[in-house]
Amino acid sequence: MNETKGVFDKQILGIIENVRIYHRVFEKDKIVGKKESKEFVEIKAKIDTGAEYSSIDKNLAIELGYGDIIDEFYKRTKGFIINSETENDALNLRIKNELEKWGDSFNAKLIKSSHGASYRLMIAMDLVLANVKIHTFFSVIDRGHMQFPVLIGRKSMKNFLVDPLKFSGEKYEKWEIL
Amino acid sequence: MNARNLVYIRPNNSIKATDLANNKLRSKEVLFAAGIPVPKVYGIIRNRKELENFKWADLPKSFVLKPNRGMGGEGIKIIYGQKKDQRWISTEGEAVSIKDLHSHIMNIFDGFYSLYGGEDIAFFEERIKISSSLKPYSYKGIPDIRVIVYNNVPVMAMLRLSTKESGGKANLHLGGIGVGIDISTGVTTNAIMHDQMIEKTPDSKLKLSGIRIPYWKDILEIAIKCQKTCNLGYVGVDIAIDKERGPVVLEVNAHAGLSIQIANLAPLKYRLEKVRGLKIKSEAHAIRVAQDLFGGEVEQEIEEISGKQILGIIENVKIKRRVLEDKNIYEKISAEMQEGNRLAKKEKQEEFIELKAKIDTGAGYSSVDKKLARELGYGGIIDEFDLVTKDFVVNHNTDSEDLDLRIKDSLDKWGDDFSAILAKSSHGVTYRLVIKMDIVLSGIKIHTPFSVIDRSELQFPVLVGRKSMKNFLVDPLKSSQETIII
Repeated sequence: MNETKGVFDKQILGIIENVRIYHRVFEKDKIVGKKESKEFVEIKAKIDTGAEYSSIDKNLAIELGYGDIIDEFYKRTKGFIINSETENDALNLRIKNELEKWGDSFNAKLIKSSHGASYRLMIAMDLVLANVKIHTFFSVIDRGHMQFPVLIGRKSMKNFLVDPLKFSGEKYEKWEIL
Repeated sequence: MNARNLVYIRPNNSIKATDLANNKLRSKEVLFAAGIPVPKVYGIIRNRKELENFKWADLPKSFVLKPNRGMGGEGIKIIYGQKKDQRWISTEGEAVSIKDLHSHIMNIFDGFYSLYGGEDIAFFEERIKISSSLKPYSYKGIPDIRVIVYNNVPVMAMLRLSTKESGGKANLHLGGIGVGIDISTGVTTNAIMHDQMIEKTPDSKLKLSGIRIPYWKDILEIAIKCQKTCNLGYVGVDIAIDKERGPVVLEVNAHAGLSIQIANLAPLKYRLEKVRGLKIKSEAHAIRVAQDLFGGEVEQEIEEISGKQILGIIENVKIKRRVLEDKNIYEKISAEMQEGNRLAKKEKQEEFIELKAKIDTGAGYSSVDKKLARELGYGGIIDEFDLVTKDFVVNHNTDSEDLDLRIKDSLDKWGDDFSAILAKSSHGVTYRLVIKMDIVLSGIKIHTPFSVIDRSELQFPVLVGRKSMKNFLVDPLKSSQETIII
């Protein structure tokens, strides 16, 4: 990507944007030559410069075709205790082999926040954000109790600016996150 | 006024239809039957006997008492809480006993507030909960949106805000603010108070132009539906936005006032003439016509980068220390400092504390670490806030106005720069002290609210949220500052 893109070439995002997320393309289809999925889900996402990684609701990810790997991941990480001793590497090793089987669109990461740490499955998906198509990693979590099933973090906003006053969604009233 | 009455109101509004609009309970029933959202009715008191037998205990802790045929918002009592001694609290801040309500209802019976001075009845209805996006602009009361509909076309609209002076009511002649709205975009244009142009709210000093009204399309649709349902040719529909229910019709007026013209800086007559005789096919058609004819006062969606500062993800901010208003205290403190503590004296000379802040578009309010806020001179207030709110239990169903009321005395004492919010997130609910501070962000000085929380576990003691970034853009790639040390 062209990192020197000037400010004026950058798209401006609002606080809530409609995004398209494409369905999973299975390895077997890739071999046949099918590189992109035509099916997608269009949904409102929260644009959050406070978050590093984008995240997606577990159920939405299942809907997009990732159910099997999510099940597998949760089965294998169940009971993981995260503390300073069982940091990144050790955990990674335990499911690394498993993830490799699935292809390079999958990864796992230790996400730390003020509320604790959790070990998360990362899936790279095709995303259309403000008419720009990007391939970006989402951490898969249960966002069922959040207002938006998708959150776009900094890593997915390389060529965008965010305008905190701009709302793209028509009905943003519902949204009241502090 | 006369032109409006002669040409538009009389021929277009039949006596029967006008009577329906003037009878609030009746029109509510009709609107409700047509599927239009209206506030719930808790009880109707028609005569003295019903008043004597009324079960006061059945009333919820917040409600509105209205005369059925009142005009111009008079005689309406808004109750937004109940004290421990069973007395209610009105938006004017006074304690209201059953006896007070009793005598108020007697006044309503006697026709004190009714349109033609005749006998009237009283009723209790649901108090609309203010929506978060318009809350800062309104002093206590519920802002409402008046839409004038003529011949099925919404011709003009105005946002009405209550002020300290208007006692929580949004009626203009009581001292409320009227803000013109661009019909096509739902963005506010000019504002008036007492028929004079104003730029900012008198109480909280917020800019009144450029406010985007939520649910704008729905509001227009509802207004058009109301006109059809009530069978009025010319009507002013008052719509409020409830926190949970969205747009709700408060009432319909057959004689809508004319201040709306001043707020929109446009003559109503001209607009009415344009719409007169047009054949309107559907609601969608009506909205299109309105947008074509009367829209475009606000140039929408112009993405103006020039003039906006671009922030990185981490920025240096300067936060100003508290300046005590009472000069005597100020002098006393400096005298104390001179006595010996040279270090403190040195610190005092620095007006600002400079540190790194996280720029977070995911947060509404900015926040500041408690310890830092103490350092900035707010220790006393923080202590008192903690003490007063110590026993407060909050959860997702808590009404923030309820809590605000309980600390009202403290807040009043501290002044305009202090308030409290109920912060809800996926991790829980907290009641927080909010302090307006002066900061310098990327070279621009702003006066902005910070919620005070314990951020000692977090990387940055200061977080800048959307409310403080009105004239900025955020570049997620720009983490401008050299190395990040907490």
